Amino acid sequence: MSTSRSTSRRFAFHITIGLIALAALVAISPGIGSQDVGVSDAWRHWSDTESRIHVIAFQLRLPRALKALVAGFTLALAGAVYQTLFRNVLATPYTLGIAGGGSLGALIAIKCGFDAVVLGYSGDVWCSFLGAAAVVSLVFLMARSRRHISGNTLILGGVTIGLFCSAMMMFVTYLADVRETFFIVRWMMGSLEAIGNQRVVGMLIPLCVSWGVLLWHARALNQFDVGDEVAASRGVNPAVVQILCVAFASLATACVVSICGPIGFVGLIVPQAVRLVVGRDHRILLPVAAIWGGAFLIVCDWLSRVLPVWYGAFAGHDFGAFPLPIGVMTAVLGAPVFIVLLWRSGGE
Amino acid sequence: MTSDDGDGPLRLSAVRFGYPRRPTFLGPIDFTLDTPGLVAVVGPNGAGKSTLLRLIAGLLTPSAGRVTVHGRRVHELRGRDRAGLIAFVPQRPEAPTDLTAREVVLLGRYPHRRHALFETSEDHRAAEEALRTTDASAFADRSLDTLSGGEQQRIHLAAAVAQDTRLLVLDEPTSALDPYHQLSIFGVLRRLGEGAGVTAVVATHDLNLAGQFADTVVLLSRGKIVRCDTPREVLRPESLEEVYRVPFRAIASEDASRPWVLPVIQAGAAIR
Repeated sequence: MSTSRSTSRRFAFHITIGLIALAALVAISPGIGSQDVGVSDAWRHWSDTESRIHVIAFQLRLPRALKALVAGFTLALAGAVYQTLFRNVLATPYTLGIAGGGSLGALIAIKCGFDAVVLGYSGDVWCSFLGAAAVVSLVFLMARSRRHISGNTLILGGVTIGLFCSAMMMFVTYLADVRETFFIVRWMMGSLEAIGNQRVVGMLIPLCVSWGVLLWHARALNQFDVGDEVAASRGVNPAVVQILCVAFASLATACVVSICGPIGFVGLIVPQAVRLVVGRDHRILLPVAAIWGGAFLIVCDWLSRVLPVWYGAFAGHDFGAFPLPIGVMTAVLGAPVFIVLLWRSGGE
Repeated sequence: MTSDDGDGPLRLSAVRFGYPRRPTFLGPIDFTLDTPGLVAVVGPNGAGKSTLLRLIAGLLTPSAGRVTVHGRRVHELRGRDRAGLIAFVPQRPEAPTDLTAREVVLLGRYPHRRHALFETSEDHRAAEEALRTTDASAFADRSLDTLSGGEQQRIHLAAAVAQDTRLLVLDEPTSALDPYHQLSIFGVLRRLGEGAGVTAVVATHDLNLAGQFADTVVLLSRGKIVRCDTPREVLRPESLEEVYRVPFRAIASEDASRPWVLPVIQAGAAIR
């Protein structure tokens, strides 16, 4: 009986460890960056709002860390949910083409200057969501057109849609002028710089609703592991849970894409790694994967800022305050980790 | 619910069902079970056994007629209410191999926890009881991938038992099992019927298991009930020959109400 009785204790343990780690990372964040401002320096100037150090630590670094937290939390949560719903460990916002659709939508809005604000959200947010929704609908149509479509077919379809979206993004970039091209290219690399803090705060409403819906369905998602028919016989409506979860995971992904562009690998490797440690009980897996997704992206953000400085010092070249695009950082860290995970799983 | 539905364990009234390409695949089916017991559904491949079981379990909706379980119309119930009444075990249950047997059994308690995130002591008690009933306590803490096919099937049966319903619907639960595990599964189902008054509806290809354990045998062919009665009345060579298109022979049995039958290959005779 010990295994199951301890589920709540394991939940409390993993959530506590995750939150402590996350809080520590956020607390350290004001002290890490390309400028020579340390952690203690930063916190000493917490109330000194006029000082240069306060501006660097709490108006630049901390908001970036919080943006990284929100983006990582969302992408890892969405990844974990997609992997269960499509019964495929490769199912993520990116492999299903959803992030590609969202990116293309946002890019078209940026290029065409759709900046009208509707219901508090600007044109690129709406276009990003419409792009993601279009791809989700397409993936769903594929899934429903044949009764027994395999997860692999779905992923291949998603990858194809993603590649198509990439090609279209290149086309949009080709049509852009120099100023637009610079912004678009930086945004496509995945960047926490491009969008203002105010925009992120506005995104918290749809994001919190999405997080709530996805976490609420953790128990129902556990039933997906025993097959649709058994889940249905236990009172879960697989079609409703699938539609709700995919819709809100896609909404959340679209929000993140419109904040900081496509950031890959978080939704792929974080849920995988967390599953290895905490097991596949979604009541623990979903919140813990989300927390470590946030933590992972904060660390990637640090590295993206610190590595150019270290390399500059080593190579004798000053890169200034330009960080590496965070999407590059997640790929550099994520790709080898994913290959190790694939290797360990024995190719299953 | 109307008064003519009765409150017996199971009643099917003029039930029909069709698939898009076979709109008249099953039915009309009329069947009434007044007392709890073990019902074996037998018949050749494609006779409609699995479809009938899914209609009873509420996983498919009949195109006409109604299914009533203990006086409640199955297809008018909400999913969770239905889950409190009927448990279903498919032919090849899926479960992640890294879960322990006990975790799989506890998943069966889902309908009983409306809002609680974690299992209650009542859930644990029911899971332990289900593991004991199915003789699976000994390997409850092992992960599923370390269990044999027969042990895994007992765990899936235990999950259905833990769901604590008055009707169990099982689609060929012993199709890939050795004789020991076949007898063990059917033994559990009979004990559940005798002890807890649980009705089990089981599809099987094993006519002798049906004959030895079932209280009622339903012989299905081409979507219709050919015979429905006690094993002795249904498992007669002449009835079986008509449905299965091979000769059968009855074998002398100590208990005349529990017949043994064997398909016979006659020298030189071609199977029709």
